[in-house]
Amino acid sequence: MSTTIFLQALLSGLTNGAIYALVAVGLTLVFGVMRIVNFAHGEFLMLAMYGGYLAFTFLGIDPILAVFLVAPVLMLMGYLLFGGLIRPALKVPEINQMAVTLGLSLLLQYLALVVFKADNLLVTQERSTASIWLGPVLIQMPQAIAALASIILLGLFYVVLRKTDLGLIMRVVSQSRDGAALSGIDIGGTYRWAMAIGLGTLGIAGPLMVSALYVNPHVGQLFTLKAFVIVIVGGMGSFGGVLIGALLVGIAESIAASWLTASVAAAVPFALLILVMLLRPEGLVPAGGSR
Amino acid sequence: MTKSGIDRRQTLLMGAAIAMPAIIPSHGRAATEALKIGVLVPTTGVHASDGIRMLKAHQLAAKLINDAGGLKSLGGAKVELVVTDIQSKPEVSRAETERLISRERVSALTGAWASATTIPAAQIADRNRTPFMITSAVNDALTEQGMKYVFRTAVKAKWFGGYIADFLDYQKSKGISVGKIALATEDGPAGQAVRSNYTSVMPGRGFPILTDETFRTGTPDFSTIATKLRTSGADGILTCAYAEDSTVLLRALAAQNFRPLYVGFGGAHVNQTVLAAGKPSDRTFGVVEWSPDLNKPASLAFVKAFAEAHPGETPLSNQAQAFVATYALALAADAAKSTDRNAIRDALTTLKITDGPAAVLPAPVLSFDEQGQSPATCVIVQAIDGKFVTVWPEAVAVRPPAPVQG
Repeated sequence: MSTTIFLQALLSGLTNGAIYALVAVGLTLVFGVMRIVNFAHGEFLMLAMYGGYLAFTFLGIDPILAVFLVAPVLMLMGYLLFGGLIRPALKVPEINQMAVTLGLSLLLQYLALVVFKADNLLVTQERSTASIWLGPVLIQMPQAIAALASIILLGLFYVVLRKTDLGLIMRVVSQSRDGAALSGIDIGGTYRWAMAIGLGTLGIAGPLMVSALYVNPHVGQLFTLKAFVIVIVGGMGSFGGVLIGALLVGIAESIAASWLTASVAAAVPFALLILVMLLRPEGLVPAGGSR
Repeated sequence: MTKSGIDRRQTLLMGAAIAMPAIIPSHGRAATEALKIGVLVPTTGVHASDGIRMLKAHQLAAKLINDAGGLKSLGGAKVELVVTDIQSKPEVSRAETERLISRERVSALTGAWASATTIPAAQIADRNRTPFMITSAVNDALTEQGMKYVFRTAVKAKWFGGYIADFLDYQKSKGISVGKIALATEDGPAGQAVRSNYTSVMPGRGFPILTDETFRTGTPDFSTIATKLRTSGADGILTCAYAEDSTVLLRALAAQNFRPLYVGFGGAHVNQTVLAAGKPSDRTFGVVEWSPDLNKPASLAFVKAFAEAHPGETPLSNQAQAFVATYALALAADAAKSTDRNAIRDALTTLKITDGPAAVLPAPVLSFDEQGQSPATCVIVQAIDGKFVTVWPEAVAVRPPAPVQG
């Protein structure tokens, strides 16, 4: 493998990793605070991607600006989802909770199939084929924008969790739900906000990702499994872990793909998952450590 | 207690009834009796959308034949389709083939979309001496195992590399030189079958393969693969990818200002999604078995008749194949002046369709060799100004290929 190819694979891996982090951060927030595994996470990403596509196609809104339209809609969805489905599900065993979110995932996929059909839809702009050259290697513009948004979002998350009351409350609830309740913290309200913000992050990811890729009813599935791997590798509920896990998965996958074959590369994130589970089951950056 | 059930007389009657069709020779049937063709299509299951689509073409062929007065040599006998749903499952395809042959007593069969569902159906038909016209399965072995009753309008999978080499030779003769090839294929069964075909054919035809890249469907970033393709020194790229991946790959190539000759594979490339990618897909080529703009009178008439029967719909290549398959069986029965299975089989071996409503496919002649294979061919289409246009072979092309750098 030549130096150029290696550097390109490294840069692509970093970009992909940042995009993966953008998808996984909401998943880890919901799990960290509520201990709910949301299997429908990818489907909300799919809805956000359709949101970005519709805003661009019918309203002529640039995907970057569409973020400000789609993110609030996704937050509202999270808010309603908590009241309508998750809150009742909190009272039942965890396996039932999983069945609820898994069912929701399939329901959303098939509803999207009914509404949008199976066709792939694209957002085509001038910058779809623009790129930034860094010496012999390059990063494509839509991917670069999504990666940048991811870094900004993770920085914002860090500030909110460390410096604001809401962040403090969320950290408290995630450490000890009963202790927080005894201190007079509104657990239901905190959960509702966690769900709203968790899905709201997808409102940022969706429009930016649809301009780099495409959208179809099953596109969320491409990212759900990878997001789970990242969250588990990084340490469930840990924000620092999401970034480390996502970059690790992105780079490992990209280098393996350029060095070996695509099929081997596809197995790499899962091999990494097994390795981490065996050697460090709490994840690379356990949740307690990053708080 | 009285004997319940069947008495001796009824048993005799029933036995006679069961034996009757076997005793009376089939060519002894009334001349105006309909020609029964069994149609095996998946109308449920994973291939349902393809099956439903193909059924429309089978039905259109039967309707056109019947509207034109049926089969002349059989006293205007109508074509009657006995349609069955094979549920996209090989075992159902096998069972339904048996049922159509023994219970429905069809004179011939056609179908059954994918290779996996066609292979068992073809084997059963051959064993039961019933002509089977394959519509769209491309598995090589189907017409290489000496089955006497199996015929195919479609191409063989292993011929695709040859078509592309022929096309590149044609380009060379027009002064557009492509010397070295790079491959980029998805890592699933379809992509890998095409890849092994290209790697075995292209170097022998004078097109060395400089790099051979595989990727996974849903890869979010193709810039590494695009870099490898660009730095390999190849001036032609052959791909096999699903439409969504094609768009991401084409954009990655465009982002690197790399515009080589690009040939995508089949319906996954010759697709609205790929056109929607805009400029990066412009001037790319695709290899397909048929294209609706094919410059052939019967083909254009088929597209028109199809649009009249199904407003707003443009037929796809597998529908053209289904249409031709049904027509060929009817023409064979007409030529044989019989609905007898053996007579139809013999007529198929001497059938030669060069014009008329069945001459829809790009090959100049539709006939079948001793293995039942037709000399089918593919066409090369090119994305020009937001439309796929047939550019090769010259005989059926709408226009010559446009320069790659648009």
